[in-house]
Amino acid sequence: METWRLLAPQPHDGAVNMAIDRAVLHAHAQGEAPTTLRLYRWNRPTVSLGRFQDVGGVDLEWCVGSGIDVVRRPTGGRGVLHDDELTYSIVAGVREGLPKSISGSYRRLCTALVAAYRRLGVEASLTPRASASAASPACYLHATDADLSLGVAKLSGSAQVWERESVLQHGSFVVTRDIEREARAFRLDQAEAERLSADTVTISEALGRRPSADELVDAVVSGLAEGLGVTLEPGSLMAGEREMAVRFAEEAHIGGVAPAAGPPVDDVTPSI
Amino acid sequence: MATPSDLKYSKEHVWVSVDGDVATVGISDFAQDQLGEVVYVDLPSEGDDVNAGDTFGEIESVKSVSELYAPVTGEVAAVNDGLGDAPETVNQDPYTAGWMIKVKMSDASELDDLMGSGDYDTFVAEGA
Repeated sequence: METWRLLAPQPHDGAVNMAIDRAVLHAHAQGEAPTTLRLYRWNRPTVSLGRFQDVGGVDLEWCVGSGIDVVRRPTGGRGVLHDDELTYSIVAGVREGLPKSISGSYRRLCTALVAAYRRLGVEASLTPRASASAASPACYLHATDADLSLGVAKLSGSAQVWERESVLQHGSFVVTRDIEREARAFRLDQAEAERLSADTVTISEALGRRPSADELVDAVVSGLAEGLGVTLEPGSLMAGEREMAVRFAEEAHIGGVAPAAGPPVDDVTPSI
Repeated sequence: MATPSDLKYSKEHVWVSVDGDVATVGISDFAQDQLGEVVYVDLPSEGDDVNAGDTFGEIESVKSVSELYAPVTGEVAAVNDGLGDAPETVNQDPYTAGWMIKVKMSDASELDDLMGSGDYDTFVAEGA
């Protein structure tokens, strides 16, 4: 069975989180980094904007004044407010058997996410339809091939960036959602905020209770290993990845607390 | 959609139409199908240099960003600005209205490294 590197759920500044994901992708595309599953959290609530998304899609002044950092993702899609969640990123490639097509690669990786949700007791499924709200700046008002749903409600979204024949796909396991704060950050009107509430579901809502942090990590790690058909070996970032992440973090920062200078503290090897 | 026989193709699924020393560049029907619904195309500016094998832009579809690889080296002579307002043109009409850039080639011999339509169809069929 193929072995992937596992990086542990270490909290970082938002810009550093984006920078590490991008550095791992670049190193993998160069043939230097192993296939990787990374789990992470955020030092503060953080809005991430899509690679080409207009910064006008978020109320930057309000976010910064409210202690919310704003960063640029390397991946596509719309804005996401990261707060009470566990975030995953997968870096893999065609050489590991991943389909080259966007829909095929999403299907392969999102099927593994379904296995992780089922470990938690959430009957997630792949979302087969596109939503109509194309104009909204908030990611969670959209539903595409990249998303998972519970019934008709959106449970989780993912986004990708490809470099050569390697892909970075990341997304959120949302434990709870602060609809009011998300609506304010993305300047949603009342109708959009109500839709965000009605059309999305969190893990806590699905389970009727809040899973513990360890329970969530254990389910995601074991479910993704099963869903991907791989063994996950705890590891750490390579020196080259850490160095790249410093430069990428500066590029990812838009507003709020500037990322700390110097290489990011290494993701600590988990005892899983 | 039949692969146009008057174009040349790269392994990165980019087509080239040659008129003198100017190459018009876009992505193949296979590529647009693999990408899915295109929502944004990020292209260079007129006067920028592009190098064969390096990226000349990026394209976003279904929350996924992919790189576009230049098939020839030269200076960007024109950019299809229409894709800014209508990126879906790349899906609807990849070989004509969906063109991306025109490149004033500095080394026309690079065209010899590209495939004809028959070889490109075989390349795709073999699981490109």
